[in-house]
Amino acid sequence: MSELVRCEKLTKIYDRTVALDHIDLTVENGKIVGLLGPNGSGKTTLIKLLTGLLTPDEGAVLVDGNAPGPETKKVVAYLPDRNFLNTYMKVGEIVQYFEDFYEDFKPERAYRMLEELGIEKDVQLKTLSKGNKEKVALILTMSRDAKLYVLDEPIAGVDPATRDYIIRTIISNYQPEASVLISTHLISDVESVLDEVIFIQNGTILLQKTVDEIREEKGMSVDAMFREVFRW
Amino acid sequence: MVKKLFKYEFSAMLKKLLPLFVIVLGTAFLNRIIQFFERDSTTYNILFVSSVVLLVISCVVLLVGTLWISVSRYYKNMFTNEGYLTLSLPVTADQHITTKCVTALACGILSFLVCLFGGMIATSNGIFSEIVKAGWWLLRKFTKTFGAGRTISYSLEVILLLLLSAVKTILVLYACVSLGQLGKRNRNRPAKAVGFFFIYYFAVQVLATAGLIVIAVLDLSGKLEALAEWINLHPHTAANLFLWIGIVWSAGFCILYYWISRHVLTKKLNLE
Repeated sequence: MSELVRCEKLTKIYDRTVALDHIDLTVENGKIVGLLGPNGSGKTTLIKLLTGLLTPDEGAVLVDGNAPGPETKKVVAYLPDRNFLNTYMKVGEIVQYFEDFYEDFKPERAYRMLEELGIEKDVQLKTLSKGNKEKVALILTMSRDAKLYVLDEPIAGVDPATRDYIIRTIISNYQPEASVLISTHLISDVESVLDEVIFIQNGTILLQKTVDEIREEKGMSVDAMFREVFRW
Repeated sequence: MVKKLFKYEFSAMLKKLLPLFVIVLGTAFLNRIIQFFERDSTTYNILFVSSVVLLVISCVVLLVGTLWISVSRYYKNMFTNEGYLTLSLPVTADQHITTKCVTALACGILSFLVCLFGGMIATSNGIFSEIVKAGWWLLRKFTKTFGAGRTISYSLEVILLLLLSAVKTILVLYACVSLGQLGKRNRNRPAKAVGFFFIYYFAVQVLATAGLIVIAVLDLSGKLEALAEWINLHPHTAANLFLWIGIVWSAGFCILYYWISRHVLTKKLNLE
């Protein structure tokens, strides 16, 4: 296993609020990693630093050996925690957009998944339901043969059936040699697919272990461990 | 990648501008059609004047609208939810700013040409050919007085200055929008951008007034007279000098405003 993500003393400060405090972290290839923590713990800030949407105030982050920039954006497929697509575009146009800008994008995979959902390519995104918009965004992200998939709260605010669909889509479409970083609160829904977890609180890493280590060492599930660590 | 950025920029801009082009050309045709009717009636006068006013208004709306659409597209595409996609593309901040600015400039020129074409249609009853004749006469007179070489060099310098001034206007608005994104709080970002523009505008006015006061206080009238005399003696050198001062001045501000937008996008980005 080689190292895909490395954070060294990574720090981000918003005005006087320390969002990330000297974080050291590595993620290897071929892992599905859960980035778990309560609201405001620094999950989204860490993800934005990985995807180059923020710049660190101190320390460094490397993805596939490079600092975030055009080179890393070629290999990182990012699903933000909000609707980031231009809703005035048609589904086919947005697929073409991804195909134009990402060399690793597979339009046939995207169209296959869209067809399974019964979403036509001539449909304008704004006419789709919230759930379907989220599914389209996920399909576009997972139709890339990226080295790292960064999914920010992909199952938040959706019904259990959609959650299952999302998890199934992630599992059946990511490349085995790639890594998936999933940020979520809904641990029980994703626990079965995770290889490793990172617990984050107040901008610091509390724990980074494999799911098997947690089960063997603590004799509890990741969900139970999360509840114990983050108990009020 | 730049080619693809241009493709999407142009298609997004033209999608919004095409209806405005149709309105300008439509009102120009309307004006021209009205001119075919009986000219000595009150109804004709009312219709003719109304159609001229409509044409002028639609041209103003098109020109201002082009700038507005360019700037609002920069804001929406870079700093709202759409920014999560735009800024995740394997493209540099320089490529983003440059393509948006060049597209805005090209669309501005296109809008200007549409207004010109609208004017041509409305004046195609003979007035237009008179305007062309007058323009041609002026050009010949200019060439005869200053020579073909100077006419060409002045024309190129004026065109360069006009283009740089247009780019400067676009970039200062981009810079204000970018500065409006700073700060921890995400609320009222467009309002903050407008605030930055007014601060900039106020600062420019204050500096210009201060400059005039300095000239008045220092009593530079003697030196100004000497300058006027020098201009009289060396009109071509003076014209070239002033044009190039304008070009360098505009280019300098273009670089400054470009750097502000680039700095915010690369170092201070904080999406909603």
